[in-house]
Amino acid sequence: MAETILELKNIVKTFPGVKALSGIDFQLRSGEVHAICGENGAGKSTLMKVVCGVHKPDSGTMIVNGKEEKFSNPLEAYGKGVSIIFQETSLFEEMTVLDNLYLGHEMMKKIGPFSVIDYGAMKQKAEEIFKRLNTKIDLDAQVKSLGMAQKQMVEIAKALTFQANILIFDEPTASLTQREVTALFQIIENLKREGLGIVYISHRLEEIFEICDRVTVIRDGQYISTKDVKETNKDELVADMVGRKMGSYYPKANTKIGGELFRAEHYYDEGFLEDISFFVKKGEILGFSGLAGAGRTELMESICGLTGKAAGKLYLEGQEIEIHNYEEAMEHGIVYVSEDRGKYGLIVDMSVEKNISLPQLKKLKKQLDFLDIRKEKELGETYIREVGIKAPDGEFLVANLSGGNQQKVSVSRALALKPKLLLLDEPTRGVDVNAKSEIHKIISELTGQGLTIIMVSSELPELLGMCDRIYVMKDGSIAGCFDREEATQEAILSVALESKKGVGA
Amino acid sequence: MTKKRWKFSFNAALFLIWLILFGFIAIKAPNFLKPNYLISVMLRNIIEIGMVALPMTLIIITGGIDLSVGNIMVLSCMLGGMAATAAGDVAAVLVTLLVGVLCGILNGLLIAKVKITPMVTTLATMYLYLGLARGITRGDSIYAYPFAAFMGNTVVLGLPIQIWLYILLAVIFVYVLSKTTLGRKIYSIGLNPNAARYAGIKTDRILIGIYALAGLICALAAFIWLGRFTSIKYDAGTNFNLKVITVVVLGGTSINGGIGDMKGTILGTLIIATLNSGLTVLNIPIDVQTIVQGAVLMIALISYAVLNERAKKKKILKVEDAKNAG
Repeated sequence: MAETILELKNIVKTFPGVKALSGIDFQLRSGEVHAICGENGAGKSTLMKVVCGVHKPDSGTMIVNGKEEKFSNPLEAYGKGVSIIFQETSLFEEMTVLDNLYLGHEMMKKIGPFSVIDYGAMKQKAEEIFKRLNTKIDLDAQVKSLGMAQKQMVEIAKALTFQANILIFDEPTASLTQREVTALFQIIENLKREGLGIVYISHRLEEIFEICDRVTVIRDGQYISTKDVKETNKDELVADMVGRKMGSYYPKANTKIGGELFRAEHYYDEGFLEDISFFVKKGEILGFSGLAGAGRTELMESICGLTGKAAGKLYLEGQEIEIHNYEEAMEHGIVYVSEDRGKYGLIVDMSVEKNISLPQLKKLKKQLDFLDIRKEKELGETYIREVGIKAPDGEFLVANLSGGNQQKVSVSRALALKPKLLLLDEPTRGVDVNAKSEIHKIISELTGQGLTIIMVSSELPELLGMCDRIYVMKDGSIAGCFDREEATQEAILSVALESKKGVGA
Repeated sequence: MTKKRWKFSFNAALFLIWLILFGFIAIKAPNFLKPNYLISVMLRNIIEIGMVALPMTLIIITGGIDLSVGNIMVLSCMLGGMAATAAGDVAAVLVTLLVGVLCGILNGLLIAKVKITPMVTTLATMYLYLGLARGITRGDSIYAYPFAAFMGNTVVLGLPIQIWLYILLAVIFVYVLSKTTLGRKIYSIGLNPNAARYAGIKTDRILIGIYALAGLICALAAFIWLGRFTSIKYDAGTNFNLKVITVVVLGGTSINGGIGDMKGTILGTLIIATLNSGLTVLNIPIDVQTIVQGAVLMIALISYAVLNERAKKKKILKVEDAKNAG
């Protein structure tokens, strides 16, 4: 009964400078959820983009619903029943839900000689689809007024308007809360029962064991294995993904913790932060947990002078300090690594060494503002070596590096500033297992050298594994604080979720 | 490395274009080659545009544009001229420079602080400065005063003084953009202004600074310009803005920001200068001249695109080679 509805044979795809896929095989049956996993840069997303026509493969065949196909754009793929739900939603924020659902394939009717959009029919169909999904969403609402989970629902509904029988989810849970994830899984389960084939891409191995039937692992653009989820386990998958057995997941070093290094008192920022007080001790790794939108990033950026002025007092090593802009923060030895590498963290069209030197051009100038290029090169090479960035040389463009290596560039340029206090915002978001553990190792080593780190993360296991203390934020204020010994996922989550306003979907 | 070589080769292509044009015109009209003509017509006529194109290159590399430069030049010229009649030369110089810088600062403030897009900001201030120049002079002409006449008509060591000034400025601007930390910051703002700010670069201050600098250079150009023409009305210098931008774009600076080269701008200036004066020598009517200018700009931009594409391909091959070897 379970026929193969999507088959890829020997798919090869090359990008400028990178062989992204070299001979991938993959089969998807109807009525199954098939996970694809692999490190970042392994080629998961590229593979799916080939399937749905965003990229053209260099060679290889693709059989969709029994016919060999070559899609040259996503719309063509949609037409043949292949739909993808992207990592970041691709909806038009200013348009209504209904317009988004049928954008590019509106239903038409004739009024005399003119074709016009048939809103009535579209509405009826859309309502049916949402009923199937067991969700209620106002069709006339603007997409920007919806929550993340609802937007995803719209994306799924959009796929269904095409009569898709092959659905591809690319990291669907990255920005959802636990409750929304549960709801999503229910929907995936339903769709599966209807006989759709679902490709599920995720970094979170737990999820794969929760909802997937089979899992295909790819590594460095190569096919590694396909296994029944029931017959495998986490360690085996991780081993396949990285190509060797992993050691301890969180290499937390025991460091000696000194006196107080930094303290914030009654810190307040209109609309974002409310009366926040916290402190961090020398050599400590301090975690900040909380749901998305709890104000963690805002707090970090505010402390560094990156956003407007905030009220409250900051103390560094017992002395009160004032920070008006990021440059002043850096002068005090407080350095921030942004959660969004591409947008804020790095200039991806510049070389690795130029990115590393950018925050400290001041130290690299000779008389008459002359930039000391030799020193810059040395600096770049030092950190490429020390942090283990996989780039052929300092002149390599950051854009051509994988996510994990970009993150390493981000971290190393913060380290190059020789900070006292390092603020890491989601240091391992969008980074593969291997690079993740490398970054964790780097963090551990740094505290061993006496650096103090504040780490914001949405991944509780990471915080629990790495941090000495964890603050939990909620709605712009601090809701609780846990020592390493007493912190558990349940305890933190219950504080973070407590009296949380209702979540949609 | 590849990037550097590619940059060089685009400049080489520009140089080639210039050489061909120059050679062609020289063969057709031997008069053109007379040093006197080359210096006092070809070069002298382009200096104001060439000077303003230097800071314009910086502005365009940050992802901005300034459509008001010509009008800043006129306004500072007008007010300076009025100050000359009222209070003499020193006042004229001070007023001209001050007006130029203030106009530039206004542009910079609106762009960096109020965050209006550069195109819209300078479009608005273009009309503002034009209107002010007209209103203040009530449509009358302004006449050259001694300092302006000196800047426009003095010859030093065989070359007009403005050419020496241009050479000095050009050297400084090449140095600033390619060798200093300021130059690096300007590129970084053009490539990703957010990331630049998150690297501790005071992007606002730099933006205001370079728009102000553009205003200052406009004021310098105003002296030369008034001196050269002896009298000027508010509506003089139409198309000056676009001519400046043409020179910069011809030099290979990307209008999207982040990519560009000061040497390219200088070569672009030279090409436009050669075209302007050369086509006049050939007695080609002005409308045809305009067509030729458009064609040359297109050829330059196409060669830029072709070279860029080829550089990319070469890079792919290189990486593949490295992979195969390794």
